[in-house]
Formats: sequence, structure tokens, C-alpha cells
Amino acid sequence: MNTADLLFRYIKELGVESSLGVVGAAASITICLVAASTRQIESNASAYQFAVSSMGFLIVATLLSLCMMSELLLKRQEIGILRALGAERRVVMAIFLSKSILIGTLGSIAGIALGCVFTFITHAIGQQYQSVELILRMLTVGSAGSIAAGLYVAIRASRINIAETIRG
Amino acid sequence: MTVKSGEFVAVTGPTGTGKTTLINLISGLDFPTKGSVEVFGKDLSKLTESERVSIRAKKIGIVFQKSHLLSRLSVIENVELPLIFSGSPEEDREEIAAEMLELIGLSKKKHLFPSSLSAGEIRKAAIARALATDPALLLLDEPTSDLDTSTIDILLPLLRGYNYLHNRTILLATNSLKLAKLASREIRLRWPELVVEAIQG
Repeated sequence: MNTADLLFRYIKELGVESSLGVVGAAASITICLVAASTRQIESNASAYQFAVSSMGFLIVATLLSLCMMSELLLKRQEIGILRALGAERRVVMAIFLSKSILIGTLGSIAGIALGCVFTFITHAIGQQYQSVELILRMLTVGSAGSIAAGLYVAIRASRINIAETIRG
Repeated sequence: MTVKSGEFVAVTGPTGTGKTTLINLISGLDFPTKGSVEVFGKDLSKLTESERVSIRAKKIGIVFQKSHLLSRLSVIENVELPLIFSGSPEEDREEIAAEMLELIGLSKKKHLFPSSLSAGEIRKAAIARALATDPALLLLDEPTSDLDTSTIDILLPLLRGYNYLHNRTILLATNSLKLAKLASREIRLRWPELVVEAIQG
């Protein structure tokens, strides 16, 4: 076994918290993609797109922070044991950061797919459009949100009080 | 209090006198509110986090009071964990872990997960994990609490041999008089004075 195997053991386990994170990220990206697809505010399009993207980033980052924090609460003792056995802080950070990125990416891909389907279905009603640029932007929003959430929780995880967790 | 290199010291005292806290302080898992802790000649509070982790991974083996095996890993993978963190060559890890489990009498269950082991077997695996890196300092917190008499009879000569033949330092927190007698020195902790007595064995 090596460090990569150990990380994989933690990342591959998609429990209830992770699944909720994927669903939350997917819903946020879907809504943002649909909102960004409207042509109604073309006079100030770039400001509108920026506002929608920023909102998407904040929502994804907040949802994934909550999801990863509950993962941290569940795995608190395990993290303490790993640290007590000599795991560096970066090993613990890698577990939470990579898991958050995985959840965010899965959620973003699902959200983009759903958003595309939704805008296609409602095309006749609202005169909406899709572009590769918009899809890439939404993927970036989802990934950036997951990295921000992952970093926040990873830093907190790496700084847990080891003695307290192993006593518990 | 000072423990010399190669010594086998038993720390005894009633529950709540600070035996576990002492082990946590020595392993750098906790920090003193007063005074200082020097391990291998280095003041732990003056080291960086990375240096403390390095000492813990390479030079210290710990048997926690509650064993603390990771439930998602098999027994042999649990024993391999400190070898990963200490930087042992990847190709040797499984072999070393298997040897440790053989030594402690748990080789037949090495591929099982902790949930299918008895409390005594979990304790044995925790001891094998602590010995895996051949640490210069072995810290044991109530190591015999879940063990039956026959396992204790295996463990005692193992610890004595580890100390005597390999010249490794052992600090053992225990309430067991039988285990304390094994040590070359006993340190008794008392509450609330926190008086430390040293008794030569």
C-alpha cells in the first residue's frame, strides 16, 4: 500500500454526504446555466454573466463546504489517528481537497447536462441559447467552487487537535 | 522526569492522573501548558510541525489506549500505515507488516478487517502496528487492557526482548502490577499533587 492507495480508499467512498454534495452542485450549475442562457439582458450581457457565475460559485462553494464539513465530522477520529501515526498535514489536505474536487466535478458535469436538456426543452418558450464558452464557464464555476470549499475544509482537517480526537 | 535511551519505564497511577496525557506530550500530540518536553534531545515546542511529525513517524511507535485501527483498512494494511508515513520502501512494507503480524500471532487474520476481530486481536494488531517501523521509542498506553492471560504471556517477553536485545526505549502506562514489574523503573503519578516518584526496579 502507498499514499495514493490510501487517498483512493477515502475518495472512492461516496456516502450520503458526498451524494448530497453532487446533487447540490448539479442543481446549482443547472440553475446557473439556464439563467446564463437567457438572451433577455443583452445590453449588459457581460455584467449579467459575471453576476450569474459569481452567484453559482458562491452557492457551489457553500454547499460543498457544508457537505465536506459533515464528512470531516464523521472522519474526525480517523484523521486524528492518521496524524498520530505520522501522516503529514498535506496527506490529510489531499484527502479532503481531492474528494471535494471529485464531488464538484461530478456535480458540474451532471448540472451542465441537465441544464442543456432543460434549455433545449424550453427553447421555444424563452429564446435561449447555448455555447461551448458558456458550458466551459459553468464547468469552471463548479470546479472553482469545489476547490474553494475543499481548501477551506482541508485546512481545518489538517489542523484538528490530534490528542482530543484520539481520546474521543 | 527523565527517561534514558534504552530504558524500560513503567508509568503507573490511578485513572485520571495523567498517564495518557504524558504519552501524548512525549509523542508531540499535545503540548504542555507549563514546562517543556524534550524527546531525542530536542525540545518539541521549538520544532516545526513537520519536524514533530517526522520524529513521530520515524522514531516513535504508539499503542493507543483504544487501539484505534482504521476500519476501512485490513489488518495488514493497518500495520503498513506507519511504514508509509516513515518513508519505508514500498516493496518492503507488506513483508515487514506480515512479519510483525506473524511475531504477534495474528498472521492468519491479516487480510480480515478490524470489525471481524475480537478486542484482544485488535489490541495485538495495534501492537504490531506500533512495532512495524522498529521505533527507537515505544509508547504503550494500557497495552494489556483487552488481552487474555495467554496473550499477555506472549507480549511480556516480546517487550522485554525488544528493550533488551534491540536496546529500544519503552515507556509503558499501565495499572497492571505484573506489567509494571517487567520494567527496569517505575514512575508513579499522583493526583492532585502530580508528584512523580521514581522507584528503581
